[in-house]
Amino acid sequence: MNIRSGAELTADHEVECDVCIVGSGAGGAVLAAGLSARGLKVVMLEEGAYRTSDDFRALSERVNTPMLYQERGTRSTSDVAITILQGRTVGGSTTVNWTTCFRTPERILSHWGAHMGLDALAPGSLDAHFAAVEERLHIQPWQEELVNANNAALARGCEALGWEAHVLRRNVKGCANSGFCGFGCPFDAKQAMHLTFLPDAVKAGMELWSCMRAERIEVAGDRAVAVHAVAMERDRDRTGVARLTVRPKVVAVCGGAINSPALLMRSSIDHGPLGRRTFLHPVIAVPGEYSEQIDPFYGAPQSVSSHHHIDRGADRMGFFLEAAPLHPMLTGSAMPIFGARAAKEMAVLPHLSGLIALHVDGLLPGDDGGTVRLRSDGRIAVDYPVKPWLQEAMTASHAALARVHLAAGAKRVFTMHQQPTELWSPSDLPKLAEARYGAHAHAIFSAHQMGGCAMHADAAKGVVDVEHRHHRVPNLFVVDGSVLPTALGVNPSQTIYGLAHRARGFVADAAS
Amino acid sequence: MLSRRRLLQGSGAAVAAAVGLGGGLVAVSLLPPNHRDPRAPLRVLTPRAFSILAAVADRICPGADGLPTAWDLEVPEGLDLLLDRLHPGVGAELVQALLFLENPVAGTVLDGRMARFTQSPPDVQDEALRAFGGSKLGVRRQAYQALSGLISATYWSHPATWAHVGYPGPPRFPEADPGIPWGHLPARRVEPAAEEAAAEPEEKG
Repeated sequence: MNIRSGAELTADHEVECDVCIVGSGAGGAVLAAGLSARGLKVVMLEEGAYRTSDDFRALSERVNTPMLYQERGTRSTSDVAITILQGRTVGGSTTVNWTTCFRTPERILSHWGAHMGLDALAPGSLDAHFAAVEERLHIQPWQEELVNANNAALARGCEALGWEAHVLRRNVKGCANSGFCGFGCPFDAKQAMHLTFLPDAVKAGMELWSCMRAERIEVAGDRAVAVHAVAMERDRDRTGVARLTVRPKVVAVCGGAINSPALLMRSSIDHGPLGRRTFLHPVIAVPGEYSEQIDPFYGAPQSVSSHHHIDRGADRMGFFLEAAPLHPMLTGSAMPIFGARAAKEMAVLPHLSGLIALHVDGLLPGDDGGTVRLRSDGRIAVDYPVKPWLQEAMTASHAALARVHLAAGAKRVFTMHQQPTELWSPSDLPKLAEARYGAHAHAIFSAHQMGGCAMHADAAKGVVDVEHRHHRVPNLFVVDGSVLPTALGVNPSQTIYGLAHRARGFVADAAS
Repeated sequence: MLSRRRLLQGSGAAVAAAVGLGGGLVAVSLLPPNHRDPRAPLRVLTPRAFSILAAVADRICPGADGLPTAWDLEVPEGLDLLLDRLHPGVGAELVQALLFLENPVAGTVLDGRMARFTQSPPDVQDEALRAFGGSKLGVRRQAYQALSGLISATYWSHPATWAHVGYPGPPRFPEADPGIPWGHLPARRVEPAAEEAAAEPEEKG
């Protein structure tokens, strides 16, 4: 694929185009393919480097994590309580996600209609778009016989408890079941953006710049007139010497939740609740130790999900259950314990199953999630207070995961607290009530970042309208996970694909 | 990550008292801790911060029972290398966190630990780390979280630890023939669908 690298740019450069797209992930790539196919001249800027399966074949957490993740894998909330896993490479998070695909749940779309005035996104309205991306990305149910032991524990436990669980759909073709999705697929089996929509766009004429950070969008009056970018070093988060100025008719911001609101802040386009209502699907993990070998580091990372607890009533936060691969680095760094105790737990790694609960933030009244802001040195900060309703949900989800493990046959379950709670049988479950839940009490993660440039029909309550158009700057669009007005209760990639597919017409019309 | 502003503003009266000792704080922080010589040129960390980090790393990942220590695996040097790839502010904050942990004045005020971290015996060092991790002061919890996470990640990603945890390592990539099943990997290769992906789907937007 013909991609230019800012790291190799030695002199300032300027280019005119119809649409400048900032970001090459789930939103930007789908949008770019559609616009380029219409004959529009598209210039795409991606801060991360262009990496391919040739780079991924190291199959190394140590090498690939700093290469492919935001802040070299160290991104977290400002209080360091929540580890944030988010991709930073050509293809964005689609290059490193675990391939789980869901259409947006109807109850979420209905909620958006009722509370955000997004009636145009009513259930069924996105079906054609979902179908289109499912075809292009080969999104299909995973074969039940290939579910690995880690995910099988979730299925078995839920079945024993009478809880709903099902095999997931994945965007893979020719998957080798290696378990290394999170470090870039070495087989090109994962149908990530750098293998699908981005090549489509480049073949149709798009100019794609990697290692190119969009620093600021210049606005004159109510029009976005330029995107000012600076070249980046390929392997260090340092700016290079050359600058790129793009002068487009239309700007589409597709940097994802966290980075997109930050770009608008740097550009002083601070209309509406910019940066607010940032949602993380906060994740807790509970490992279970089994007598048999689980090998939680091999096999498709996620292939089973349970939504039994997704609706816990109007005043309680819901959550859903999935599995997470337990590679040594991810597991060792996630455990809040240290020394001999940590080494003891790590010593049984092949016998561990790692189950996780993802909490659905943004649906309860008053739950505004977190906030993105800029630090004085230009870095991005994410503040995410753990509110009482999340604490309550995490208490319940720890118990739910422990019950699943015990029902699935685990001989021991332990929590990811600094003082772990151990359970050996269901009679130990009350011990969980004695533990503390919340920031710094136990490990918390996020692999799904949403919001910050919320879509809302009311210009006073949203950053963009239902057509992704900025409420104050009409030739500026935001097309990525940052527009989601709440969390989804499912893995968000396909929702972003579908919304971007729908947005292509709106952006094209603005550029024509 | 920690910022100096947060370190000084967000930590309540106890830290303010410790920092307020002013000259004493500066004077002791200038004295060299138990020194460790880096085995590669330092890019971000100061020699003092490197030595403190080395001491912390050997408590987070002390080795034993066949496991190498963090020092054996050059974890401090590895972290210095990682910091060099990050925004410069991250390294600066990590150094602040290390100096805060090392400081005997803050240790005395907050924990009753009168010695520097690097000059304390291992059990006292462990207690200091636990005190940071469970502290009511946000900056101390943040320091613990950042240090333990970075050190553990660097340590457990090292192949020399994998035998201990029973991790056979990444599957061998079949360079010569992608069709060859991977050695120890309990996985079956799924053949690609015969048909190629459809071209750009019809516009719906």
